[in-house]
Amino acid sequence: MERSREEMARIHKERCRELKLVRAKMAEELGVDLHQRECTYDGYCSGTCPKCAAEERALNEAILRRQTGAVQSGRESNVFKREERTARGAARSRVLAAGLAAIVSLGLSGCAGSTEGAAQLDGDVEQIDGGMEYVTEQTEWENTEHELEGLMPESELTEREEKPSELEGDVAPMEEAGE
Amino acid sequence: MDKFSVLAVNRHRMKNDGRGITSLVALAGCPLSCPYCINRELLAANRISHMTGEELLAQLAIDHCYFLYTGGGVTFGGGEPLLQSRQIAAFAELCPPEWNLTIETSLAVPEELLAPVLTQRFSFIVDIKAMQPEIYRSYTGKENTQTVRNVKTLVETIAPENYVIKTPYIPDYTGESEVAASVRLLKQLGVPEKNILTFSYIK
Repeated sequence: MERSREEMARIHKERCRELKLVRAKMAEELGVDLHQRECTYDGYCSGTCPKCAAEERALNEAILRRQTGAVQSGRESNVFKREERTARGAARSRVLAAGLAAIVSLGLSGCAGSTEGAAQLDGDVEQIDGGMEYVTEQTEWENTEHELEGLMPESELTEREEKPSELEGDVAPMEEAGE
Repeated sequence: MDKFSVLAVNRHRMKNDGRGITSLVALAGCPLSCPYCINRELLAANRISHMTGEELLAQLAIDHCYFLYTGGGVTFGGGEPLLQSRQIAAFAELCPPEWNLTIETSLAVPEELLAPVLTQRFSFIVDIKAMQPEIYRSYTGKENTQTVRNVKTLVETIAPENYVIKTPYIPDYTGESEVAASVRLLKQLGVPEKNILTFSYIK
């Protein structure tokens, strides 16, 4: 199903709002101040931007600090107070150090969502509820067509990089992709 | 270890691939030729990036916070991701254990390509197309003998909470009776009814 650029922008903007809400909740649990502000950017939005990415970096760094402490003291590694924990996550906490080491060694705080390499697709905004989504009754599904929605040809990706979203708040500019 | 052949990475997916916020890694290559393949253009464009597991991890790690908070993770799709199952299995050893790893597959691969990922570390979303050999052959251009064997192996190995078998209504190929027959055949293989999901392709 083809969607207009305006509709895609609306969907991406809505997705951004949903993700911002999720980040705000994470920040509250972690005791991190993200300096979130109302986004006033008026151009085409892909659903993420340097401001969003900076918040993600801050949260990832806070999580890694806490997880390192949790592993050292033998506590469960997922730092969020979620009622549901997958059995897999709890059982594998003993190998967390290896996963953490992989992320830290790859420079998680430097990950800037580079558009080099594989293309970045922009997905749909869907309801965030975190629960298992499978249903048993007949469900009318689009055939995962949304996987291609927002696919930007390389020329458009380049155009986006040249026109970054406006930064807000006390956020340092993004590093250049590939640096 | 062989590198991944990646078509695209789709971030911030919600509800499509199971629990939480996920990132979809679309992998190149597919043994089937389905007329209504939603990723036909992506596969045909053939814009492939070759990357190591570490490089892929670095790209996906930006969403670590979402994965942890929502119980999400990474979904491997495509194409047919099991064509790169060894790389996926190696990636599972690299990435944080909290990340849920899901494989969206047709199971249309030799059994030796299913084996590396046949562990409780993975969840599976299987699109079976049709259980009837003649319909399957007509729609995909391939026989489904091995696919059916793989379904049986999956059911015998993977915990029920870690897989779902999708049985589609395919315009011009399957209707109510054909889908109902596929559902019956899946149950005969031991698939619990609650693990069978019917849905519709868009022509």
